[in-house]
Amino acid sequence: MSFQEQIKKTTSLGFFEGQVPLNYKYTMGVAGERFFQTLRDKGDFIASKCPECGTMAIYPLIYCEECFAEIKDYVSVGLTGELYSWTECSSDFKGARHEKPHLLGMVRFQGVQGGIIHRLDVPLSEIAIGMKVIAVLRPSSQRKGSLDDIQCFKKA
Amino acid sequence: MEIKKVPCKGLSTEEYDKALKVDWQPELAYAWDNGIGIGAYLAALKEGKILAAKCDGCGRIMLPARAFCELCFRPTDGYVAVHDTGVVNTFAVSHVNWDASRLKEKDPRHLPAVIEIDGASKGQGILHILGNVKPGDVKIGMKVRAVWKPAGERTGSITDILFFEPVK
Repeated sequence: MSFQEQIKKTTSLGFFEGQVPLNYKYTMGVAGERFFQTLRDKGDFIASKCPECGTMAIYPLIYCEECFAEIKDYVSVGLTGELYSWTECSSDFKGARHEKPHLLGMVRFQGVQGGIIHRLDVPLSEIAIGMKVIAVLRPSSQRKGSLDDIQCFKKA
Repeated sequence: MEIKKVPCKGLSTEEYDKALKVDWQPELAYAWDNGIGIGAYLAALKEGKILAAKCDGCGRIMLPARAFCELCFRPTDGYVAVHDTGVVNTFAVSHVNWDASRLKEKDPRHLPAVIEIDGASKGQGILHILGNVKPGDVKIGMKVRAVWKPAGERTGSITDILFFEPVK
């Protein structure tokens, strides 16, 4: 019987709804902690610099991805970078539409591996890949040591 | 290449409290399809009946109702309503809630139990809770019966049976 049974009325389909309660706190790590502390306290971006091959990375690392050397040096790279890529985003995490599409961009820094993905505050008509952009930070009293300490990137 | 000591260590509680952290609660909502066998079983609960499935291969009356026999590996051959009475097969006295929070001293203990239902094959039963009984008075083999929610409040869920109480 059962395998031959069919439910033809979709309204009689039964299901159970539930929610898995889950939350986490993820630490930034040794180099990440330094990056966000510097952002919060000094309003600056730092990159890690490999003592052996000189490779710089943002977000900073504690070992070099190129030569596996341990990194203890961090250098300031300033708040100005280059727009590497961008996109327009019309809905949020949960799928709700934004009133106005958000612009997101990946910003890279001269001679540095990796980059920062953040909001862009640049008129759509002026966006160009390779353009110089500068981070707009929240006032130091409002900074908490998170990515949200950056308000957006705007045209430099 | 020489492997150097990894330049990391675990954090103490104080260090962890001070460390910068990303705090997030993912929303993990789900809807789980009842399927045909359990769907029929739950629909019957709403009617105040406990439904089992029978298999003509091994002759078992299986509870809860299911779409196939896991011993014969063939479709089951029909549903049969069984009684809402049975005996305690096994039980536990729980001092914690489902989320592992401790019950207070004066709170009644939870008594999860497997009830072998009358009319189903030996060993066929459902996991439910016992009520109207003191933890010390529960015995394996004790006769119990289902206490149902009022018909109008039943939703087609295992909680349509409030608990099983001893048959006096």
